[in-house]
Amino acid sequence: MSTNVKIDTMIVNNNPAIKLLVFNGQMDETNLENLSSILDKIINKEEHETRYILLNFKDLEFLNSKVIGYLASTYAQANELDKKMIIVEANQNINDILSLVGLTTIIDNYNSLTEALEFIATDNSDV
Amino acid sequence: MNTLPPIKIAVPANLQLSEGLREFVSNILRVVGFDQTWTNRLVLVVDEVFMNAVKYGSVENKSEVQLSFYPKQDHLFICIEDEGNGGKKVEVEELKGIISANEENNDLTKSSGRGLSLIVTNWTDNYEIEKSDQGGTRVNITKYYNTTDKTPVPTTDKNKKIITPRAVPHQPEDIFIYEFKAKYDIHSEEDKSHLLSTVENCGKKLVILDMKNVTYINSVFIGLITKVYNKLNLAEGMLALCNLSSQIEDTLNLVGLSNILILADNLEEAKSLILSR
Repeated sequence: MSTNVKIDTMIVNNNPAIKLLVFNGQMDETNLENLSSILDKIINKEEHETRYILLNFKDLEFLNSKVIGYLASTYAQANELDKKMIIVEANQNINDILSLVGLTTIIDNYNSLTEALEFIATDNSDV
Repeated sequence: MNTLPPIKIAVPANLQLSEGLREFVSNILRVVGFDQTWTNRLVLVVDEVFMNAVKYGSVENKSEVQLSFYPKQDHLFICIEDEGNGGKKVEVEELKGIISANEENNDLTKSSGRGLSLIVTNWTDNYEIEKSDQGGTRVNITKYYNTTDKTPVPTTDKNKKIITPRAVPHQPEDIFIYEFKAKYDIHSEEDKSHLLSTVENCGKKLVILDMKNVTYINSVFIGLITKVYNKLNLAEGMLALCNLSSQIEDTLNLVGLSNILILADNLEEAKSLILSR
C-alpha cells in the first residue's frame, strides 16, 4: 500500500492554458506514479493547450529526494516544450526542503495563486 | 531537551512502510525536544537514509533495516544500518564516491542524487558511513540540539536576510582571514581538510575567505563552504567571502548560498560588512 496522497487537477478561470494540481498528503517513491501519470500526460502527450502547470503545495506534508528529482527533470522537459511549471502556496516545510536543494532557484514559486496568475498574465498576453 | 533511553527498531526493508516510519520518527524527535522545523528536517534525513538502505542494502521484505536513536545531553545520535545483502549492493567506499560525485554535479535539473549529498550533509552536524559488523552499511548521524534556535529557515525571497543585532560590537582583531593558496585544488582532500581544520583551530568566530586564488568551484567545494558556515553559525560566528570571480558569485547565487553568506568585492568591504553585523 503506497503513501497517501490526493492530487486534484483543475483548469483555472476556464482557461485551458492553465492547469492547477492541488496536493493533499505526502509524496515519496511509493506514490510518485500518481503524479507522473498526470504530469507526463500534460507535458508530453495529450494536453497541447496547457502552457502553465501550477503545483499547489499548501497541504503537501512531505516530499523526498525522489520526488524532487522527478520535479526537477520534469521541469526541464516542460521548458523544452515551452511549458512552465510553477509552485504555489508551498508551506514552510516544503519551502524549506525546496530551498535547500535549490529548486526554488529554477522553478518559480509564489505565495498565492493570485500572484502566480498575475505573473502568467504578464508573462504571455495571449494567455 | 528530554533525556530518554535509546530507542531501537527493526523495520522490514519495504518502502511502503516509509510513511509510518516517518510518523514514528517525527514523534521521537518531538519528544526529544526538537522544534517543528528541525523535526521536519530530520524526518527527511532519516527517510533518505532509510530509502538508500532499502534500495541498496536489502532484499525487499526479507531484510531488515535497524534504526537506533540515542538522545544524549547535547545531541541526538541516530544510527541506521542495513544487512548489506541487496542485489544492488554498494560498498561503503563506493557509496562515499557516489555522494562525492553527486556533490560535484551542479545541475539542478538532474533527477537524482540529492538525498545524501545535500539533505543529509546540510541538515546534520555530522554523518559517517561505515561498514557494519554484519557486512552491511551503517550511517551514523549526529544532530546537536542547540542549532534548533540558530539556523534560520530559508525563504524563497532572495532579498530577505536575517540579521540579528549584536549587544557587543565586533572588533577587527576578532576576524580570521583565510587566503586560499595559489592553484588551490578543489579536488584535493588535503586542501579541503586544511580549510576546515584551520577555521576550527583559529579561535575566532568571524572568518573571511579570500577567494582571489580560487578560479572554479563545484558542489564539493560548496558542501565544504556550507560545513564551514554551519560550524561558525553553531558558535554564533559569521562567514564572509571576498574577491569572488563573477562565475563563482553566479554559482553561489544559483544554489542560494548568497542568501546566507556575506559576499564582498574585496577584503576591506568584507571586514566592514562583517563588523557591522
